[in-house]
This record gives sequence, C-alpha cells and structure tokens, in this order.
Amino acid sequence: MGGSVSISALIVGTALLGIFALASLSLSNSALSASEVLEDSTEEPEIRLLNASESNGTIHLNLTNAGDEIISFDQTWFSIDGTLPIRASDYHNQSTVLFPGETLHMQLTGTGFTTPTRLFVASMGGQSGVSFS
Amino acid sequence: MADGGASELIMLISGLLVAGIVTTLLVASWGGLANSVDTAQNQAEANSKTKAALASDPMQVSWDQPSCNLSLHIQNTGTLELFDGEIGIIANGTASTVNQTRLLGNSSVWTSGEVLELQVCPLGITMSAGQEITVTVIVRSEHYQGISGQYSFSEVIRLV
Repeated sequence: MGGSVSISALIVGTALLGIFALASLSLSNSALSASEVLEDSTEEPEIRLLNASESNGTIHLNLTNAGDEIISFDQTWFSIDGTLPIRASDYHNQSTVLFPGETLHMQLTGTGFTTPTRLFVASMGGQSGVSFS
Repeated sequence: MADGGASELIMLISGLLVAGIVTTLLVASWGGLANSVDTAQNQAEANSKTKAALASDPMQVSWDQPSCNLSLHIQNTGTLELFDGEIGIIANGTASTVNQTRLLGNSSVWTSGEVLELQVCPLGITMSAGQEITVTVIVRSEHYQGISGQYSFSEVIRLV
C-alpha cells in the first residue's frame, strides 16, 4: 500500500509539472508573439524634399529617401500651397518606388499651378516641405 | 496490519482527491489567464496595425469660420483598413463634428496608403487665419481577430 501512495504521488506530481510546463510554454509563446508584434510595427519613412521649382506650368522637384524603408509612390501624396493632396504615382510613371538613399528628379505636369509658393509631401507618416525657388 | 492498510488507503484517496481539486483549480485559473493574455495580445496586435497621419500640409490648413469648416486630410499609414465613419477629432481642445468625408484618388475603402478628406467643425470656438492649433485625430480599424484597433495622434497645424 505504501508503494501505491508513492506511485500516486509521483503521478500527481508529474501531472502538475506537466501543467506548469504547458503554462510556461504558452507564456513563452505569448511573449514571442508580443515581441513579433513590436518588430512588425514599421518605422515611418524619412522622405525629404530637397527643392522645388516651377517652369511653364511644370513643377520640378528633387526627392530623396533618407530612411531605411522603401517608399511607394502609390502611398506618397503631394500638396501644393495647402490644397488637395495629389498622389505621386498619378504624375510619375518612370518608377514606382524610391529606394533608401535614392534621390529622384520628378516633374509634375497638369497640376494647374503657375505660381506656387510651397510644396509638401507626405508618405506613410513621413513628411517634408519646401518653398519654391 | 489491516488497520494500517485501511489508513494508508484513506490517505491515498484523500491525497488523490486533494491533488485532483488542486489540478482542477490550477487548470481553470490558467485557462482564464490564458484567455486574458490572448485578448490583450490581440488588442495590442490590432492597435499596432492601426495607424494614421496627416497628409495635408500642416503649415497651410484651410479654415473657414463662417461655415465652420476645417479641411483635414488623413492618410491610413497602418496595415488594417480604417472606418471612415468612426473618426474622432479634437481641434484646439474642442470636440469637433465631422460633417463630411471623402476618399481621394477614386478609392472606395480606406486601405493602407489612401487619404481621407474630412470637413470638420469645431463647435463653438472662434479661430483665425495664422493661428496655430493642436489637432488630435482618433481612428478605428476593421476587426482583426475579432478586435478593432485604435490609434490617435496629435499635430500642430497653422490655419490659413
């Protein structure tokens, strides 16, 4: 009978250890998922308008990607003199993205602005603005 | 000898009963804890995928006092779709009414990268061109794993 008590205690103890092991595993997975969530939260792109000018109704600008994220022109919006934002990809078809470190000369035609004073760009939280020279 | 066997049997049964009760309690409490952790984790995940930012020039934001109309453009910078009908705006510390919304660029849903135009009226305040105010925007996302994400940001804007 004494042997039965010992064996029963062993079984119960093993079961409890198993439960705690599963609990620890689950907690560990939760912590891992939480850290993945934090890693997934992308950083804001660092977009920079270097300069902008206007000539015969066409707006010329130089844009650079100063960050580590690829910037999509589908998600990049220009605003001229505080007016309605216009999507960059509607005015620029030569490339679709701006790679980190890349500087691009863009021409915006057909915007309707002849004497603009300020150009602003926003892309997924990154912002930049310049005055026309 | 028989008495000793009976007492050991009682001890064995008592031990097993206590262990069973303790195990049941532990499993139940762990189940509740696991659910809480899962819910909190899903909420954190939904919130981390919900983001927005100002797309219009903060230096030149259109404000018309007579018609009480502040024009804002908000870009969905997260990965989840946002509800364009569930936006909160606080302009210069005043809760504002969103009178009209419109998605730019022929979009029908406010997905990542798309811009929503808002016509906002901060109730009962007087503002003038050149004034700099703080605007707080609160957005809400579609359901992600049964939970809707929330995000808010504040930005200083100059009225024109």
